[in-house]
Amino acid sequence: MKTVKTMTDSRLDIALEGRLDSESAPEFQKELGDSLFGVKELVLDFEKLEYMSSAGVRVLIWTVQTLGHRGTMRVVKANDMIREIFEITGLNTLLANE
Amino acid sequence: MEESNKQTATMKMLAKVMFRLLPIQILLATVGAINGILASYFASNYVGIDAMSAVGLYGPVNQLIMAICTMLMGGSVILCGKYMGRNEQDKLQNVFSVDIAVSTQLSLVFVALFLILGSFDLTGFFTHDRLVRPHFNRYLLGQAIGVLPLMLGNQLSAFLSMENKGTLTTVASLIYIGVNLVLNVLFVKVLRMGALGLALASSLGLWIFFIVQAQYFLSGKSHLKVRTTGLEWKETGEILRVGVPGALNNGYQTARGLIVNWLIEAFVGSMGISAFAAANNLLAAFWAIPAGMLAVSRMMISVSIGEEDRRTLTDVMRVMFRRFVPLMSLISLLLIACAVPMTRIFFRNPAEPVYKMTAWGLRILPLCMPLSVICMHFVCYGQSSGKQGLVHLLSLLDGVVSVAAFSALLIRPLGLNSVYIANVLNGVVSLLVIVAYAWIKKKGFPRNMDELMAIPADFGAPDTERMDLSVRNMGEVITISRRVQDFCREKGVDERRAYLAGLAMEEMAGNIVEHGFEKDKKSHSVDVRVVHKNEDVILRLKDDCEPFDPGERQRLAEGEDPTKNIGLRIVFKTARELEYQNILGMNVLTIRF
Repeated sequence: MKTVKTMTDSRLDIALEGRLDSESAPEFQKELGDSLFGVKELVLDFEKLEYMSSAGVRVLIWTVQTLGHRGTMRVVKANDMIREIFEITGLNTLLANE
Repeated sequence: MEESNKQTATMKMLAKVMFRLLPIQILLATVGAINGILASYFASNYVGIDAMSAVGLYGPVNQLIMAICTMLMGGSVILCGKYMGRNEQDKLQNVFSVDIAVSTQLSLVFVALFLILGSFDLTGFFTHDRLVRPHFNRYLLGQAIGVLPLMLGNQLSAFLSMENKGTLTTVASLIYIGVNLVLNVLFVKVLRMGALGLALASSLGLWIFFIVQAQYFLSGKSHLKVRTTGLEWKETGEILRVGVPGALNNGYQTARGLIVNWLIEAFVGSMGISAFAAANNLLAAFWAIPAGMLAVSRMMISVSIGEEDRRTLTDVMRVMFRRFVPLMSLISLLLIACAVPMTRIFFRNPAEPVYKMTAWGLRILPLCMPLSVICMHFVCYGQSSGKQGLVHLLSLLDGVVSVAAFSALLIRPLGLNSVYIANVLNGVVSLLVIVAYAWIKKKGFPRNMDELMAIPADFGAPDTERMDLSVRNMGEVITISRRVQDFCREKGVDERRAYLAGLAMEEMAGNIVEHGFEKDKKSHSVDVRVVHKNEDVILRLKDDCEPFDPGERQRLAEGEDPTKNIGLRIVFKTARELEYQNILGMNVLTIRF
């Protein structure tokens, strides 16, 4: 999976491309961990993300918990299947979709 | 190379499961053989050669009872395997109940028959020897007590294996052997009850064998339960129809036993009967090994046919050729090397003709054992797959024709050795018939296992609509998840279901690798099959880890922290159907989209 990061003030945009699965999720989590310092707004662009499994969902949950009260996270441009995954897991209440 | 590695991984998993089930099945088959060995030992050492002849004359009768036992057990196990593969629980329970009921009724018929024949000296059909007949009559009366537990005990053992409770059969078998031995010492050596004591010892031991196993089914813990009302008796016909071909072999062996005994008595004498009985009864313990191998394979074959799983079906036969036959060959060589020491168990004087005849039997007869493993497996496969022509032909040749014909041809010049050699030649003839059958059906010499088994082209999903894979580690889980998605897209499945199929593969196979593989540090693999059938996508995952029902786990997780068991929750909410079974110690998960 590829990521493109853009930092503007305290907003971090990350565009994901490819698959967020059991193989790529641990590395992505590490990358997020290294990048979240000072971030108050995190926007994940899923336009080019084809696939996400439960491993990806767990990374997003971890990210929300890590940000805590310091910041917010939202996911934008997710495809229909990934939206369905959010709905099934009931986590669309934690994550804002566009 | 990749395809070869996948096949090897699946075959290895199957071989591991088969060898895990094998010892229990061998022990079970040994139970009947131990009876023969102990009877022969105590008869020859404490009663006399005439009593030994009586034991030998009872051989065909025992074969007949085992034929009926095998017919009921074989038919019931094959049907149960099919119903398990299709998850038809009501039919499964019915088959079990009908089998027990019919076994009981038939046993009682034999009990009555033995009591009448033995009490009124109506056994002239078996022997005209006036010295041997009184012993035979008393032996028959004693055996009458053991027919019911023998029949029911064997049925229960097969069903206990299906419930993964083979250990109980092991315990029952060991207790039986101990009781049999103690009672033989008491009745034959101490109380000098002769042939009646021989038979009573084994009969009472069999009651213990039966009761130890029955208590599991009476305790309420078993999945299979005996019904006494609402039985679909028409299932009896199906049990007989499926079971008869396999049991025909035993039936033919009964006829063979009678013919061979007649030839031996006519051309060699009663001493020949004693020698043949001694050699056969001792080897019977080792015939338990191919019988055990077959019992394991029978379960695998029937479930594979129920699931229309071509790959597992051919892998069972590959395990037979590559593992069972070499093992049996090694055991045969050891038996031949031990011919003289084994003879001395029954007869001490090397100058006696009966000693020499027995020793030659133990040198020649083991040669037919590896060949029998192959023949028995093909009969079972034919039985399960409806190849009635092959089954009848092999049963007839192997059971009667070959041995009787070769014995009759060779007995004048070779004496008792003709019978031994006839058994080996019989094995060769059976092999040639198997190859010839495949050649005719496939219109060419068979070049692989599918062709040798003459598997119909329409069995299971066609190759183009099916994908078989193996997973051995987490990296392969991801790769296979993508391949499943690609496979679905190629077959024109909509994008949503293609995504969900790939996702289910990652979630479920990933769970097995992450949690199941790590539990015992042994090597495991997950056998994955993806089928596109009638617009459905069907995933089947099979593994040999500890039993784990994902449905049960999901039910327990309901209402818990929603951030846990996410993968399971996604699969359960999106799959159209999800079934879990634990079959023969393997977790089998089938998911349909």
